[in-house]
Amino acid sequence: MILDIVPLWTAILGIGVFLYVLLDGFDLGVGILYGLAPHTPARNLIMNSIAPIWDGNETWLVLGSVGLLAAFPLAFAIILPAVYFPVLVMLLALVFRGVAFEFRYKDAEHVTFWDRAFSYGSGVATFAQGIVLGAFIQGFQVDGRHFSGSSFDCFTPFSLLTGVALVFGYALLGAGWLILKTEGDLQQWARRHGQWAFAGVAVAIALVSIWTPLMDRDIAQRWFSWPNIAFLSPVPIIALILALWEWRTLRSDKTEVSPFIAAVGLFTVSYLGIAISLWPMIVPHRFTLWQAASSPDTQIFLLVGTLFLLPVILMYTGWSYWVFRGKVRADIGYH
Amino acid sequence: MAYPQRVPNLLEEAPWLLTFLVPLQIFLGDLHGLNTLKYQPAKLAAIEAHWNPQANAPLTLFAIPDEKAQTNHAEISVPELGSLILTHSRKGVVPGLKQFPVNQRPPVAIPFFAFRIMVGLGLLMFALVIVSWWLRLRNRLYDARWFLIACEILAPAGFIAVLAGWTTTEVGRQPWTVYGLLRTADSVSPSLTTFDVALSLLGYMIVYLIMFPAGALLMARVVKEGMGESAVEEDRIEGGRPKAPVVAIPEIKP
Repeated sequence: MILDIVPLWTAILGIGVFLYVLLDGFDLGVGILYGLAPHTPARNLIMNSIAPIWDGNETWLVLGSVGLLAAFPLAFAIILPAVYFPVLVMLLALVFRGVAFEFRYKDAEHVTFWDRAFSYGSGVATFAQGIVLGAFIQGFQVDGRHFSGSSFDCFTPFSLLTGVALVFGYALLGAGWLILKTEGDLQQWARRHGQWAFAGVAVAIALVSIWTPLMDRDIAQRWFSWPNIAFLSPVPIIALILALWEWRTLRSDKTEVSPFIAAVGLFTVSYLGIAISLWPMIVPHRFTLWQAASSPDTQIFLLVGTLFLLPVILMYTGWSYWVFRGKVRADIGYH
Repeated sequence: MAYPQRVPNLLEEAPWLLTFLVPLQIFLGDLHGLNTLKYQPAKLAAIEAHWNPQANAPLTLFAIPDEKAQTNHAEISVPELGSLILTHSRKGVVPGLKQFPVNQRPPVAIPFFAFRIMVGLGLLMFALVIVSWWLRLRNRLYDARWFLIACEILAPAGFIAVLAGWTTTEVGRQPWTVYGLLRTADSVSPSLTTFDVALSLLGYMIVYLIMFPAGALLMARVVKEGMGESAVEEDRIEGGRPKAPVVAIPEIKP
């Protein structure tokens, strides 16, 4: 008897990638906002608010990409070459951003250079991830079992839009995080910038939601045919409610938690929206999750290791957030 | 003594650690060699610049391999030692490159020299361990200037040995990515053009040309400042582990 564990791997990768988007999303967003910070003490605080946890967050990027390679090798073989340059640019940008955490203090004479390495690195990495997302939604030119387009096909008006959208989205998450972790003037500053980011996110979600069904008949069919439209209508309605909540909570001083929670909510709904649009394809229009999966033996073998590893990752992630809970202070910095 | 307390400690501890690690590495390397003989014989033949399979094979210390003529020039070798090391038996047969079709042979010179760089550095490190014990037992570990200079020169040895070993194993496995099943030429993404690869290589080079000098300069500064108390500046506030954390930089200009 062979168990179908493709759904399980889909869940592991789906949740893993989502956790990456949320967790590295907010710390990349913090990096993007960092470039707009008014002065050095603010930058110190902003960087210290993510210093203990940012690299742990990138664990999920590794899990996502290696999991895709091992559990869905056909998808990996088609998608990775198709988004070769955005992934390359993302990795190089992450080099600058990661090194800046260390060198900014050890090389204080060139602090401006490392400040820029940090903020531009964060922004460029985010933009590149957005391009990957857009290219993925649009689908790839496939011949047999490999990508047959050019390495520059992924740069389209749509993917540039999703790139910009993700920069605003991560900035919104980052602003939510900073509101949670800071006080006083800096918190007010984060609220103001969160409002700008939110405006960008709202426009971007609207544009992407209109553009996607217009360019893709399958996706239009998925959402607007009867009875799907009845089942799926709560998705945009919940998105709208979350957006209103986010806007109100960013503008009031009552709560420090809800801007972040509402941003997480908006990301959850958007992610679900994409999943609904593409299900059950992992290479849009071409291969389903089952067609792209590695053999059941391979998937079970991998599952054994992964099921040991996941609780460990979750535990140390949870623990580091617990240890570094509360407001970030000017006089203590950890890495 | 003029040194801060931590320097002698390191000089005390590091040779101790190496006393275990260097022989362990040599032992593991030997196991790795036996494994390669079994699973990737063409790689082993290239590493040894060995053209004809033979028993009682010599160990080539130096040679200039000539792939066209399928022979070595200026060869210096020790009789019988090759079979003894590679197969653990004087009569053991060491594979030769002529056993394999030309299109299934790796390049010879690169793995041959890279391997000798790696093993040579390993032996130098082993010599350093022995010398350290000789000095330690005479209580001269901190005073023999030539030993300290040798330690300094050998500081990057482990790093270079790793790179050389990596080069040996990756070039030696050619022309296969999955040994015996998938050739490197067949595993390239079809969409990837030479231009794409050149562009990405250029990107990596630019980033590393910025990051490596920056890192090297900062490390050089740490060495120059020394490990004493003066290296920690008063006006930078830090908590937790010393020297590592992200710290608050004071306002430089308003």
